[in-house]
Amino acid sequence: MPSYIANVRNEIDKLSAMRKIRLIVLLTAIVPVMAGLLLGSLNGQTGISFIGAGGAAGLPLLMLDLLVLFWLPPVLFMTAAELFAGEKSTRTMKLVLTKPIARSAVYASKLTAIAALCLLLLGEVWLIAWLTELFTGMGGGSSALGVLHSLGVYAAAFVPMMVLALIAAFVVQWFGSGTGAFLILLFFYLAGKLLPLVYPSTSGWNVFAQTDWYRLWLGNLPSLKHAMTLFMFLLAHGIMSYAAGWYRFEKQSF
Amino acid sequence: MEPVMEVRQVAKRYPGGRGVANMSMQVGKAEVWGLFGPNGAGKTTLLKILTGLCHADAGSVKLFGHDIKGDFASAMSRASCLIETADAYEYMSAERNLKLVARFYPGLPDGRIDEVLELVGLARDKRRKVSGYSLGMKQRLAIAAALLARPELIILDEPTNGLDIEGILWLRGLISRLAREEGTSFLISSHGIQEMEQVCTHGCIIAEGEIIRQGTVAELTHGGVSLEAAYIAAVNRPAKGERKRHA
Repeated sequence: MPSYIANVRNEIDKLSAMRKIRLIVLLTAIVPVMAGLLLGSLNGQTGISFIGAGGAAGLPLLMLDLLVLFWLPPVLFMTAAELFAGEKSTRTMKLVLTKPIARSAVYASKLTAIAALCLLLLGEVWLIAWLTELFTGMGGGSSALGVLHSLGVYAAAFVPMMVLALIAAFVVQWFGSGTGAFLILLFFYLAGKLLPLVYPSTSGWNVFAQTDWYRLWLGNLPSLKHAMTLFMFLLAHGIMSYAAGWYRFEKQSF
Repeated sequence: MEPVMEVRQVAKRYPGGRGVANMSMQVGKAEVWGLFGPNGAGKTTLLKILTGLCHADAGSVKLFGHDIKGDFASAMSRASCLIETADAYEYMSAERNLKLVARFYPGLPDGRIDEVLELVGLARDKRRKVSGYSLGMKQRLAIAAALLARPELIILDEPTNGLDIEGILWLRGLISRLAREEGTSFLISSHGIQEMEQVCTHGCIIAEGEIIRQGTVAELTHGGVSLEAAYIAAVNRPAKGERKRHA
């Protein structure tokens, strides 16, 4: 356990030292502010309430929809590709694999660091979107969801995002370069997202089509059966991906 | 006394046919072993198996009595290594790289990082990003990382790569001093057999994936010829197939 914690700290340290991760965190903070200001001015000019009090769902939810669809998946794919395939290509994986830590703990600690980044970005967007709404007077923070409810919905969005990260960590085990792994993950994701548009029946078994699971929690009382079924579906994909990725990581030569 | 490292019947075969077979050796406390062999003989494969970077198809490796398959973390807790190339996280400084290493050894005293940076001559550049380092500086940083936790066994693969003559002399002195004063054991793979002869107490000659000779330097040289001559005589024996035919 101490070596697992040591490596979680190391992986977070490495991520925080990467210029691209810093840029991602910065951009993630800027977008809700820009979107808030733009949509706020549209509110004023058109009289149609896009966000804020009376708006459809408020800035935090609008931002969450964008974050989960366009931003977080590629960021998580890139991070997983960087921490596994990227470190293989730069030969830095051996730096941790020759330390007194089991490979299973290395695998778990890298995924914990990815989870921490995912939580950071979700929390960052939630906080900034909520503050933007508050300070620009667009509903005085009283978006359609309310503060705690929107926080709960953001927490729910963490589940499908982490499942995507686990799938990514499994796929990247077959790659020797971060870029190749990232591109193939992006292709799978886009294909998974577009497939239900052509064949609607595929959304039943397609995990990429279920990343908006958090939307079930928008109402006051979600259908518990439906929510549990989808949660188990996501969990099953997460567990299978974790086990398969870990097995592959254990067996590899570096 | 329990050996520091015990290798028994280790074998590993790659799809192309290369690999190692029937490798057995023991390294004792304060012994400095040189691992010699032509390119592709299997030296790095053996070192990777010893440090868990790749898994053997057969055989066992124990470090300080702990099997690396069953209890890798305990086996590596008193060992360190530098395998193949001196790599580091290039987007970080040397100091930060060593801080990452230090986290795996909770008992390290404060100031140990500065101490090893001073020892390898990188104290002045410790806050510079590694991406700006020369090959020799990266090699020194990798050696610093290997020395950081005061390991009792250090496995080095071509440690003099990128070092200038001064650096090679310094490393040679350091290995001798650590073995003599702190009882550190070394297993060093190197092509520089002449320079290794001056620090090694034992040698192991590998060819075509097999250990063909091993023992103390005196045993290998029969007390007379140089280690280089003994090596050349050993590796220039008839090839495996021919040996079988002669037999």
